[in-house]
Amino acid sequence: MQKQNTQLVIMVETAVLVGAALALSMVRLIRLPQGGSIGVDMLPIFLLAFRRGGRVGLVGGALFGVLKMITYPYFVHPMQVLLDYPIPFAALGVAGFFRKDILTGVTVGTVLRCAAHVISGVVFFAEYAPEGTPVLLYSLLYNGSYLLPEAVLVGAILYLLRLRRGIFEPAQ
Amino acid sequence: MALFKSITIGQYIPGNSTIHRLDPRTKIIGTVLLIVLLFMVDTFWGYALAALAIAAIVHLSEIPPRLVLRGLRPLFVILLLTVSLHLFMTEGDPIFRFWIVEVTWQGLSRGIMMGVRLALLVMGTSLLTLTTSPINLTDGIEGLLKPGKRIGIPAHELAMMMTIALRFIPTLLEEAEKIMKAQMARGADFQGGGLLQRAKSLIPLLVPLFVNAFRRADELAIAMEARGYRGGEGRTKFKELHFGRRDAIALALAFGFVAVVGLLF
Repeated sequence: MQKQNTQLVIMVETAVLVGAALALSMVRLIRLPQGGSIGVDMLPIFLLAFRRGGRVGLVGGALFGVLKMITYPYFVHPMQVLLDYPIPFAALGVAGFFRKDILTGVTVGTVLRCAAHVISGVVFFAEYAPEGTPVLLYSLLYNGSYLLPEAVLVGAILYLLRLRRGIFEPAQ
Repeated sequence: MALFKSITIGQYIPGNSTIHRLDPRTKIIGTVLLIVLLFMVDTFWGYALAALAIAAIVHLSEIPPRLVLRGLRPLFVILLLTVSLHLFMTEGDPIFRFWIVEVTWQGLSRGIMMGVRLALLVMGTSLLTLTTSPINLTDGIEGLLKPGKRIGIPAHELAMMMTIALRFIPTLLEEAEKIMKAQMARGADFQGGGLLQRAKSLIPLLVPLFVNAFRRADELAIAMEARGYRGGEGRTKFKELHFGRRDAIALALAFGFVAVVGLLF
């Protein structure tokens, strides 16, 4: 009985944090000139990962990606969709495997997310652009330009929040 | 804060057209078929027929075509880039040459075809979200994932989490707005400053937001348990998905169209 109850709480918490991520993704804090923007929608996913561990973080991130996909789809290639929605956000959940060190977790999560988006860009251009375009560099520059400030912002917030027990650790 | 005004979740446009009334599973499979088709065809006629099919679906869905076309706006730069890259970098019979730039017939046709494919893909997939609400889509995903249960995919739980997440978006936005106003009344400043300054200024918003979110989650879990929730086994639904004759016809048409056009063009 006890076990099932905890599982249900984890499930609902995941759902609510994914909802929070979606809500925050609709509030754009800083707009960037080339189309990207800086927001804190990664924050709830990281929080979930640190609070409930990497596995829950992976699931929550993937769900966030799928919901992003079904609310505002941007589809140009089957691989691109996977690499732009479920995979990069699930990758954020990997941070949950580094619960002892928040900043390492955020860094690893962001780097993995960035890698997914960059590969997505490469896949896209391999399909649509002729050979010889320096795709990797462009994709890296573009994705890095908004992910780096976002990661700094979110990392700083998580660092400031780290001592609040009710947020980082589930109440008993 | 005007930040939170006029937010709608997703692109869904309510309606009662033939397309709106199709089962979400039918529409998801149909969209996948359309994608398959667009990657199978490689000729002018293939794309033209696919475009015609999309136009027919737009007509049936009673969605104003300009709304479907609006989905192309974020694609504009990429579209331009794709077409021009092909135009200038494909080798073949030259149309004209200017300094070191050479435009070829092959480049022109390749560029146009790739551009058309991109546009059709984006329009085709946004048709799905224009005619199906996120909640309905979630139900459809659950239905399609059900066979995956045997290999350990918890279809019901995943769909339940997505539904709760969607349900909580407006609640959380409203709450964020309330907290922001309350903190601003106490002198908090959410605007301006560098990244670290902003991170600091967001703390008075985020702490109550998350504490409340966890409290709500806890309460919801208790409420669910009190009502006897114990997962997907044997659970009934208020709104059952109904795969009817209309859906069978639509799927048969889609399969037939994709097979014929995909294989011939």
